[in-house]
Amino acid sequence: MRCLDGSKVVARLYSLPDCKKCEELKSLLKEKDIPFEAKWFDSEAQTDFVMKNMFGNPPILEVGDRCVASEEMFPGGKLERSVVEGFLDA
Amino acid sequence: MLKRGRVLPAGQTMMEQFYKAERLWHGMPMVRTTDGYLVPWDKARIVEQLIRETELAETMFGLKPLSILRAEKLSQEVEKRIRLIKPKVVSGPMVREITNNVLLEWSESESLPELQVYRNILTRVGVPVVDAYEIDTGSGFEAKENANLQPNPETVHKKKADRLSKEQYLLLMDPTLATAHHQGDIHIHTLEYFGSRPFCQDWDLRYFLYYGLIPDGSGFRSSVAGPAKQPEVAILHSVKVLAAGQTNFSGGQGFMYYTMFLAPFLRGMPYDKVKQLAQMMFYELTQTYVTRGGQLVFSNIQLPMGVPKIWQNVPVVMKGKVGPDTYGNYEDEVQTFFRAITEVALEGDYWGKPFNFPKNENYVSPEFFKPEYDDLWLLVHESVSKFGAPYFDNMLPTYRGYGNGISCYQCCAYQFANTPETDPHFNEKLYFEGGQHFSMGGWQVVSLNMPRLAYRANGDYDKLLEAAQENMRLAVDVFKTKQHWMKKALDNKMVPFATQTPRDPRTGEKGPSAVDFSELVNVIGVVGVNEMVQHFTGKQFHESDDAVRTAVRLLLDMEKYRKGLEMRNGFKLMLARTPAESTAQTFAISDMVSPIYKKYAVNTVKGDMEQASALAKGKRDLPLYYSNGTHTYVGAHIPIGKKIDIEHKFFPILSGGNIFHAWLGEACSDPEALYKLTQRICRNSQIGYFSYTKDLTVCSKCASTSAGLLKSCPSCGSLDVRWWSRITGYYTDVTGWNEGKRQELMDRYRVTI
Repeated sequence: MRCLDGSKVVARLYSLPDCKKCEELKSLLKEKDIPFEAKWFDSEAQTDFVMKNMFGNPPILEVGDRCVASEEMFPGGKLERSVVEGFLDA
Repeated sequence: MLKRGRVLPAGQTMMEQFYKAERLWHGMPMVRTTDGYLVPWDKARIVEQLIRETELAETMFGLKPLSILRAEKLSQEVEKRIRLIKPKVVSGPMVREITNNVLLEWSESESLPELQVYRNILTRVGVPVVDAYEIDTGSGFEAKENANLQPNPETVHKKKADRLSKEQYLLLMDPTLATAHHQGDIHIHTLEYFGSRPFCQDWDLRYFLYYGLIPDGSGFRSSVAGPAKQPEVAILHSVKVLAAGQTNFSGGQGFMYYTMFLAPFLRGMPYDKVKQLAQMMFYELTQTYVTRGGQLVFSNIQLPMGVPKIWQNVPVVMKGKVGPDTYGNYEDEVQTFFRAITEVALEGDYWGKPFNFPKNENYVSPEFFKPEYDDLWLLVHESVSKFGAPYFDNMLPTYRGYGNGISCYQCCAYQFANTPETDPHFNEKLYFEGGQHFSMGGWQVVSLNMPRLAYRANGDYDKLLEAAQENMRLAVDVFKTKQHWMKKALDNKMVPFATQTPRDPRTGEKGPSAVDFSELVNVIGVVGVNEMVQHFTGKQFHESDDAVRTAVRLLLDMEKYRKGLEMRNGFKLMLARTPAESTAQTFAISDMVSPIYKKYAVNTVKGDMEQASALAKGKRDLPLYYSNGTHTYVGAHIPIGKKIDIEHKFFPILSGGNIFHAWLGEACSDPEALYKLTQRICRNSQIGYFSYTKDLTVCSKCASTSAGLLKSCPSCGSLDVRWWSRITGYYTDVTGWNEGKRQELMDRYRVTI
């Protein structure tokens, strides 16, 4: 996946320790060869999201100033690959 | 009246001679006992009483009773002091007071802090005669502590009992907790009921539609009604459940899914009859002064306008039966009942003023936020436009977990939820298996003085969080104390309506307890977060994103700490905005009278600071206050969009509850414009609970109700008018408000929709 200028998309993945959904999403990103920066969803990160009016739970995937949270990527608790792919392609 | 120099009557002279003879005989005066007898002095009685009464130290503090040796030494000292005073006669209370003085002196001189605990147990609780007189005449002690209290003879008794109970509970508490409450670090809400009642309850009406009604909980002091078979009886039972519940709880009483649970009774009824029933319910709940010293029940009803998805296939509970019909078959009746309740609310009472109870909690969920329900929503917004009265319980934000379980906002804007993840018996309760039912409510509320945390932190975030955590631990210790005390009260059936286990109308076996106390939540409240960040960052919420960010960060960290406390202590714990009707003023006054914090508080406390000089003369009910919860300053001149953007950020964090207020400034807002704003709030913000407040003027002469806070009646010109508005979370006559809240009413920045 490449941006218009040819550079690779760099995503940031915010996760929590012992979070199965976070691990599942990490595996998907690796499988699709999406470079990402792993970040902890600590109070500082959570505060940043709240200040941007983003209230979802981890894992949260962020690209630029867009983000998508667990609630959208895991509807009914199951990873919806198309949501993640659609987000990264947008 | 006895005149100076007057010769005493013969009887009194004889009495004098009698006392003298007794004193000569024993060398000590006679003792007038508290049970009404005059008995000779006997030091051994003091020893016996000291040992017996200090047994309570073991129950309350795990401290052994006074030893015989210490008690004898104490009684000798008391006897010595009484000899020195040479009174004609001593009373039991006087002996007690001298004993307690000795204990306090020895506690200090011998460095024995436990003697102070014994003194706390041995002392008396009550009121000075002057205070009692002032309560009789409607002034003095906490005269305006709760605007919902009516000035009547029942309230006089309640106030006296409140005073005594508050003293008792603070004396029996760990002195660290009592001191934290006294000095305004924390506030223990409804302290007068601390050792005798849980806080609030949101009832599952199905329980009473199945088992019937036993108002006293046992059936031996009240009549016992079987399950209601007629709609009128079902509605009257619902009212009496709340009234009986109020005698067992200190806070609000409500019903979840009120329209839905009663809908099956309404099948086939013409609309005017249904409306008559709705009217009956409103009048019953606003004319029955039966609870907590002659108050109305502080009541609320959750109002879905249809059958939520989760209930569609759930069997109906009514007339002592479960099923076979399901709630999904009663969609039309739920809508009809909703319309009837809303229309009655819109009409108001005989004078045309709004019904202040029950609080109508309009249930906003995806099923009912569609164009086909627009006419009902517009009806609701007509009521908003006319009275500002209804509330909106918004299920749309993700954190409400809609569809997965059940959730409700209750009277004081506390949020309770039950889901399959949090409750292993969720499905049995949903299907009313074996009488299992939902039981949601609060055990106790303790609020934290948030501005003081900033005064202590001096700009250091770690210290701010540390101070918050320290006070959260104090709150937890208060909760533990309550649960420890209440265990005995519950075991002894002292909360009989809540602990009732009625017989199953089919099997004759005992059903489950009406209230599941393990499900009750302990609430840690925050008051004055705006003033906290004002001191910490130099700016208020509406002045700087940095101020909002500081509060968000702190509350997120407090929420994490809360989870840890909950796990470690094994009981439900929530963080919430508390109504703080009097606490917002109490904390401000505590800081203004504190030699340490006053220099900071003068810059943050809101209200009329010129009147603060009266504090030095001992006046406490002054027009000073902190902002409630995580609210922006009420006087901030900001558009409603900005207010929403600031305040909605805190709703997902305060899982125990919060409220958003829109203060309306126009005489009559357009219902459609209001509905559009409601849609915007519900769909685009995290606000889970909100209301629109319209100020009203009610004329005592012509009984008309007009919009705004007016000095005279626009209909008849009379100056004999009363103002009505919303105080924290309910509508009431402004004359009962404390000075802090009255000032807040004046300071509110009102918007035009």
